[in-house]
Amino acid sequence: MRNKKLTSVIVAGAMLGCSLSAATVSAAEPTTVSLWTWSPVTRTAEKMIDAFEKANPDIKIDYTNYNYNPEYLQALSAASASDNLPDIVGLQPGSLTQTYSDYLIDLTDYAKKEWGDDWESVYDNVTQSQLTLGNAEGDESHRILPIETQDIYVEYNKTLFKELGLEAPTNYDELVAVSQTLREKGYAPLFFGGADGWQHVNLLIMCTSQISDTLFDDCQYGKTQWTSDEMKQAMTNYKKLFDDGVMQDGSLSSTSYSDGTTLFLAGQAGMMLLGSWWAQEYTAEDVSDAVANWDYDYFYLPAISEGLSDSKAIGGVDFGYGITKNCENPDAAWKALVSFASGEGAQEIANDMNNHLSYPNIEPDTSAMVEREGLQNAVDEFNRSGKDIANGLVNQRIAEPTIETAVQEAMQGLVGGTYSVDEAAQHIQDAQDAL
Amino acid sequence: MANTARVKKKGKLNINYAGYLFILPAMFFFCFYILYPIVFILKNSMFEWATLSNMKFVALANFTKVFQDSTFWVTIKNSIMWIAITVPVQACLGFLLAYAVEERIKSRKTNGKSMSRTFYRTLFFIPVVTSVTVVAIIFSKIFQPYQGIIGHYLNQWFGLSSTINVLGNNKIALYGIMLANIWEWTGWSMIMYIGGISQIPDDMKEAARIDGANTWQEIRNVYLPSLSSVHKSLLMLGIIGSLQTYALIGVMTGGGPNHATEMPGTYIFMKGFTENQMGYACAVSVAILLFALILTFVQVKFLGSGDFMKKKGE
Repeated sequence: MRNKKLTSVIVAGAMLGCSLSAATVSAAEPTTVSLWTWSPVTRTAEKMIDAFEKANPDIKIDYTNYNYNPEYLQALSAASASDNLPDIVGLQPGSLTQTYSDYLIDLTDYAKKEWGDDWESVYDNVTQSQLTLGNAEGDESHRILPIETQDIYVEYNKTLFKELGLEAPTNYDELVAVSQTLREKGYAPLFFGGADGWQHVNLLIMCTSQISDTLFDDCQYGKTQWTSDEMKQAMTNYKKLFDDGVMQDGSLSSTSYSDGTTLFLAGQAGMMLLGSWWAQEYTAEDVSDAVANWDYDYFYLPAISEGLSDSKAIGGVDFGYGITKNCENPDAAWKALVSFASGEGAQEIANDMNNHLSYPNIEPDTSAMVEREGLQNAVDEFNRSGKDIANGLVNQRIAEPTIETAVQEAMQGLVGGTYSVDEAAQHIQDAQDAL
Repeated sequence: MANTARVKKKGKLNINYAGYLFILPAMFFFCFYILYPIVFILKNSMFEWATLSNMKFVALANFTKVFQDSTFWVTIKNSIMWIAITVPVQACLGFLLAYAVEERIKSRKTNGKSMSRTFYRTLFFIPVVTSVTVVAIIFSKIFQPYQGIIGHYLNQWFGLSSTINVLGNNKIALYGIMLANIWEWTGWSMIMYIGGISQIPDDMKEAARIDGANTWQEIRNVYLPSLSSVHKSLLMLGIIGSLQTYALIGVMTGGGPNHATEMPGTYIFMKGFTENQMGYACAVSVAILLFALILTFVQVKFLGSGDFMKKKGE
């Protein structure tokens, strides 16, 4: 009996000791903020998070990376249904943000407190317009803080061009001639990942930007019909690129990642429809000689028919971060967002050239980057596209996912021969009318 | 009667609790994984919603849209074609392989030793246990226009263009994916037929040979009729599997180009998760469920239900 009592006292003492020490530890434990996203790429995200945690030792980021489609989209859907969303989520502006807007807090007051009432004015024209993309009329809330903004163009292999005696085309005839030479020598000309819907959207916007900067947006917002003569001209030019052999054969079955990039990195494709995120290849580990020497450069699609201008820089917000209503410590989450958007985390994104930061004037710090033969070339190209963004973009985002799907279907049908230009235009118009 | 869960004894209802306990786990999983999702999609197909926090009741409007949706009918057409082509081709090839492995290869000898049937059974069954995603990626690479092995050999042997376009051509893309499916699942048909062939009595085969039947007559009059239960099982499993096809399509074409290879699974996913039209995706799911019920009814009506291994009247 005495032994039992003694044991009870020891156990109670041990439990008390444990709870006291647990309380002491929990007082010193950092706040944990969970983050789910597909972007930036994992290696960059880890550097971005490390930099933030170093500057804010009282906050720890619990980071989960997903592949965007389908894993991330599924995870968001399931987590929102079960009320298990993390503190911070990565989102694209427009439809994806709007889908989860009920689960996100309004960041406007935080942003005003951080950067002042005119905090939006620092961003380029398209990023500004995408901050509230898809909001109901009169709704001025900001559900995401933009992190990266991109510029989309035609990337080409300078070294391959030099070997074949080619130069970057300055007009459409030269583009066709360059493509023909590449084909004759056994290379893919302009690689187009036609199995990816986003490639079709980007290319169509490039074609519309040759006619008017606002043509595509005018159509998606109902100011102009998709069946208008201007849009049909853009679609005719779109088809011409395939008929004239500028795009590679079998483009509708090819994905940009990995079919296209594999071919492009191996020097078997002369050109590829890419954008400012391509520079991130330079900072990857174990890169090929072509990447180490940075054999690449870019140009905008030359005017396809007479009387038009070359394509403009098209692009917009690649992704932003939002804070969910589940977040128990939104102040800590906001601190992380500020770091990722414009602070030490953002500098790591810039140094990895993952893509351009939406927040202006943060350029890669070459002294912190891996020293390779092509370092300056890569950084120069990256900074040049950054300036193009600052000079103004043509919007690449579609607010309504049904329209986005209709555009992809119409362009695939047009290239595949199941739709004429009139039918393709009507297909999108029908989708718009059904909304 | 002793095995029934409820037993009436002396006017008193005795419940066999042990029996209920034994079926409880199965019932739990059935209710949780099958019944609940069906009830969930039935209910939510009458709402317009992207997330559960924002749902609007639209009654049967989603169903009206589904039946007016040309892409939905493309998925039905593709499903029927998929069933009509892959199921019989897999069954025929599976039977030929099973017959060869069981009845022919065993008689061959190399260096005085019988070649092992087990080796061939395993060899032809490997694709079945290979990840569908791996199979899809490999076939995508085989069909790839610039680096694909088919294009390479067509170019090398016949001087044809190396940029063969299978998956990007909306007229033939579905057949390209069917080829991958047939390659993957023929081994399954073979194993089913091997099981069936092992049940055919040797004296029946010997009697046919004594009666002077040649190989073809033996196959037609002994093997094929004796394997009728396997044919039925393969048909039923083939139809169910066809309606569930997702990964091959998702990885090889994503349903494209322009929905040419769209199947119910890929279309439901696209509507629900890419376009955030969960209510509409639920309505398509219900429509596909009805389609599956119709196919099941037709099967039961014409092929019979219950134990396929039993013949009629048994």
